[in-house]
Amino acid sequence: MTENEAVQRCQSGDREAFRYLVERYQGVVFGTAYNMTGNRAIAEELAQEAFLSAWKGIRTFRRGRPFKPWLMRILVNAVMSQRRRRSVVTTPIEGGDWPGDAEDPADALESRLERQTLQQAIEGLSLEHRQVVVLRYFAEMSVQEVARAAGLNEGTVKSRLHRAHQALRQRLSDGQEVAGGQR
Amino acid sequence: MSTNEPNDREMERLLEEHFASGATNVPPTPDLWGTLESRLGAQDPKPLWAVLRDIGTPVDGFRFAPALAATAAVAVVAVAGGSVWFAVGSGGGGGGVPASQNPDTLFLPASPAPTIGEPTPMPEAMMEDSAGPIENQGAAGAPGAPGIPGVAGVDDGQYFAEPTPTPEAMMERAAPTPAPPAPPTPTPAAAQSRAAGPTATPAPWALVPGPAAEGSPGLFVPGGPADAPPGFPGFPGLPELPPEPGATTFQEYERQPLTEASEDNVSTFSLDTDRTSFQLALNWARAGYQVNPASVRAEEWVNAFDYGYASRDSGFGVTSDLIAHPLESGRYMLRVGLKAPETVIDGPLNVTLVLDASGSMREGNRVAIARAAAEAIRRSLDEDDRISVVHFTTDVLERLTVTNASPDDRAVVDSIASLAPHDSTNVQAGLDLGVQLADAMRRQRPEALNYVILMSDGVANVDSTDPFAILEATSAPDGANPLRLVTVGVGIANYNDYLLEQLAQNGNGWYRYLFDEEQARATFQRDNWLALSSPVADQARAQVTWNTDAVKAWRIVGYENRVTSAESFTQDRKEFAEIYSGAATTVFYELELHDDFREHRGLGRLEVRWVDPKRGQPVRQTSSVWFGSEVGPQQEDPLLWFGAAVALTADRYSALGGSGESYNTGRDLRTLQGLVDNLQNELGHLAAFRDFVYVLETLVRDVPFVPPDDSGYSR
Repeated sequence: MTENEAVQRCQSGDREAFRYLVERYQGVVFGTAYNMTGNRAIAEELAQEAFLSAWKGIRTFRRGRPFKPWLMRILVNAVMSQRRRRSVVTTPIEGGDWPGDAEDPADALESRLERQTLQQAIEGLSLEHRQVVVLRYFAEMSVQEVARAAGLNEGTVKSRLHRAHQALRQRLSDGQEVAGGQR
Repeated sequence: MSTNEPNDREMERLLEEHFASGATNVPPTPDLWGTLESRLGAQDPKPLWAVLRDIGTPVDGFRFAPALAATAAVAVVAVAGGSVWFAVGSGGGGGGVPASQNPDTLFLPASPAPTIGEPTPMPEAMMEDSAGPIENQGAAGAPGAPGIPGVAGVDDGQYFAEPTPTPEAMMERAAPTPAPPAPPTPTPAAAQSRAAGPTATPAPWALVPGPAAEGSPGLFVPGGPADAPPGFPGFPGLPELPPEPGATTFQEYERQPLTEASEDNVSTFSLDTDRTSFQLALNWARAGYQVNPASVRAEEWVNAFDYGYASRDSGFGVTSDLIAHPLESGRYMLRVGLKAPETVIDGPLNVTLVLDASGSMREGNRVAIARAAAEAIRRSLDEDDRISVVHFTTDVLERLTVTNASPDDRAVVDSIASLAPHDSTNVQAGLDLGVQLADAMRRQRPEALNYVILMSDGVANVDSTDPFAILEATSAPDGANPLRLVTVGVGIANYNDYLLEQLAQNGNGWYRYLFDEEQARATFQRDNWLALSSPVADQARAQVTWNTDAVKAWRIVGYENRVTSAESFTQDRKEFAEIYSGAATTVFYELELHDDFREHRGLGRLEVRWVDPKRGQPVRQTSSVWFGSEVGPQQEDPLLWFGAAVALTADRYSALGGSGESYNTGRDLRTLQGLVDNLQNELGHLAAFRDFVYVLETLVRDVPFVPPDDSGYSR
C-alpha cells in the first residue's frame, strides 16, 4: 500500500489504512514532540492528539500532496497549544544513558560532553527556534516542508534557522569556555 | 548573511550528526496504535472548500473538469417557479454573487479605517485622576471583585439550558418556506451616512442557499440543478455541508487595525451592553447552522458574560488588568471593565409595545416568543405605569391598537394575546404610530421614562428598509426625557440583524435577541425589567489616551461600529450607549508595550463621559489604566482569561467575513480552544461557559485548518 492509497482509503473511513500511516509516522511524530517538550508523557499525549486530529480531519487533506508536512503541522499546533495550556516547553529533557559508552572511556567522555553541551544548547533555544531546528534536523524535513508544518513562509524559516545556528554557536562557545576552565 | 553561510553549513552538519546519533535520547516510541484504535471517532465531513478544491483532481474515480469549479461557483436554480440563488465562496475573499446580480443581496463599500489624528500629549499631570462631577479616585485600577461569575448582567435568564436545539431552532428548520422578501433598497442618504452597508447573504466565506432552500441542509435542494455534475454536493456520496439560513442581513464591519501609539494614542468608543451577537451565534449553532462571520460583533460576545466587576454607588466601577497575549508572543491583552451603579429608578414608565404581525413572524415560534415577552413586560409594570400596544403588518392593525392604558386593562391583555402573523412587514408604519403614542404619553406624564419596544424579525419589506431612513422619518424629538427605542429580535432565517441593531443604537435604546419563550419571560421578569428600565447613564462613551512611554502600539478588539473620532468624544450624541442599572461593559485591547513599561505609572488614562438621565447634565469621570500585576497562571483569574478567549475567538472568526485567512483563523481558534479547555475546572459549572465552549466547538468544526498551498504548483 502506498501512502497515497492509504490516505485515500482513510478518507473513506478505513481504519486499517490509518494504522499503516500511524505506524509509519509515529516515530518521527513522537520524537519531534519529545524534542520540543522534553517530556515523555506529554510527548506521547501530543502524538496521540495529532493522530486523532489527523484522522478526524483527513477528508480535508488534499490527495497527492506529501502527508508528512500536513501531519507535522497538526503536531506543531498541538505543541503550541500545549505550551499555552501548561507551559511545558522549558522542561529539561529527561535524563538517561547517553549512547556511545562502549567507546574508549576518555574519548567517550569527551564525545558525551560535546553532545551533552549541544543538547543543552538546543534545549536552551526559544521554542520558535527549537521548533524549526527539530523539524529540520530531527524530522529531516526540507525548508519548504518546515515552512508548511510550522505555518511560516520559507524566508522566515531560513531566518529562524540562521538565528538558531548563531545562538547555538554562542552557547557552544560559552560552554567550551566553561568546560575549559573546569579542566 | 553570505558571510555566515560557511558557519551555517558547519552548524547544519553538527546538528544532523547530533540528531542522527540519537544523542537527544528520545525514549522508545510507544505503541500509539494500541491506544489510538479505541479512540478513533467519527471523521469530519468534507467541507465545501475542500470539495471545490478537489474539483479537477480525481475524486472517487471520477475526474471533474476544472471548468466545473466555475460552474459551481455560481449556480442559479429554478425551483417551483421561484429563483433560488446559490453563491459559493471561491477562496481568497472573492467569490459570491455580485450584488448587482442578486436580487436578495445588497453590498455597499466597506467601512474606511478611522481617521488617525496627531498623538495627544500625555503630560504627567494627566496621569492623575482628574476632577469632574463624579470622581473615581478610589476605584482606579481596582482589581475585579469576585462577585458572582457567569451571570450576565441583570437578564441572565439566557443561560439555563444545555446546548441542545431549541424549539425555535427546530421549528425553523422544518418550517415551510415563505416567499423571499423584496430586496432591500437603502436610500442614497443612508448609503452616504454609513461607509459600509448591510451584507445580506451571500457572503464570500461560505455556501449560501437562497431562502427557498431553508430546511434543506446541503448545497442544493433535492432534485438539484439539471446540469450539476454527478457526485457533486447535495447528491449521494458526499457529506452534507453546514447550511446557512436564507435572507439574513448582517453588517460587515472592517476590523480595527493595530495603531502605532506614536501616530495616534487616543482610542474613543461608545460603551455597549448588547449581547445579541453571541446569542444569535448560539442559536445558529444549536440549529446546526454555520455561524455567519458578519454576525459576529466581538464586543457583544465579550459583554454576554459577567466578569464579577465591583460597582460603586455613583459613577462607574473601573477595572483594568493586563495579561500575556494568548495567541501572539511578545504582545499583551488589556481588559478594561466598567460597571454601572446598581440604582433602580423608582418612577413611572410609559411603555409602547410595537409588535410585528407580518407573515415572516409565522416561521418557527416567533409569534409565541414575542407574545411571551410582551406579556412578561406587561406583568412587570406597576399600576402607575402606562402602556400602549401597536400591531403592524402591511399597515397598522387599528382594531388591536391600545393607547395609554393601565397594564391590567383587559384591552391590553387581549391585544397581546391576539398577536398573529398576517401579511408583509411595514416597520415604518408600526414605529410611526408607536412613537406618536409614546410622545403623547410623554406629554401627558413628563415625569415618566418612555420606552418604545419593537419586537420583530426585522424583515421590513414595505416602505423603508433602512434603519436611518426609519429613524429620520420617525419623529422622535430629543430632549431631557428622550424616547428610548428598544429592539427585541426573534428568529433565524429571514432576519435583519442590521436593522434592529441600528434602530436601538441610534434610538437611545438597547437590543436583545430571544430564542424561546422561557428566555423571553426570564429576560423581562420584574427584577430584570426594573433594572433594564432604569437608565443610569445616557450617551455613554469612553476614551483611552495611551501613555506613549509605555505603549508602542494598540488595537481595540471589536467595537467596530462603536469606535468614533476623538473629536466627537466631547459631544453628547444619541448613538452613544444607554447604560442601565448594574450593566457592565468590557473592552479588550491588544497591546505592544515597551520593555520598560512596568517602570511607568500606567498604560494610559481612561475618561468616561455620559449624560445623567435624571438631570440631563453631562458627567465625566477619569481614572488611570493600570495593571495590578501581570497575571500568570490562568487559575488566578479564570474569568479574565476566559474573557480574552471570548474576545479573540469573536475577533478572529469575524475576520473570515473580510480578508481573514481561514488557515490562520483555524489555527487561532484551536489554540483558544486549548486555553478554554484548561479553564474547565474553574468555570465548567457555569452554563454560560458551557454555552461558549459549545459555540467554539462549532466554529472550530466549520473553519478549515490546513496549511496554505504554497507549493508553487498551479491548481
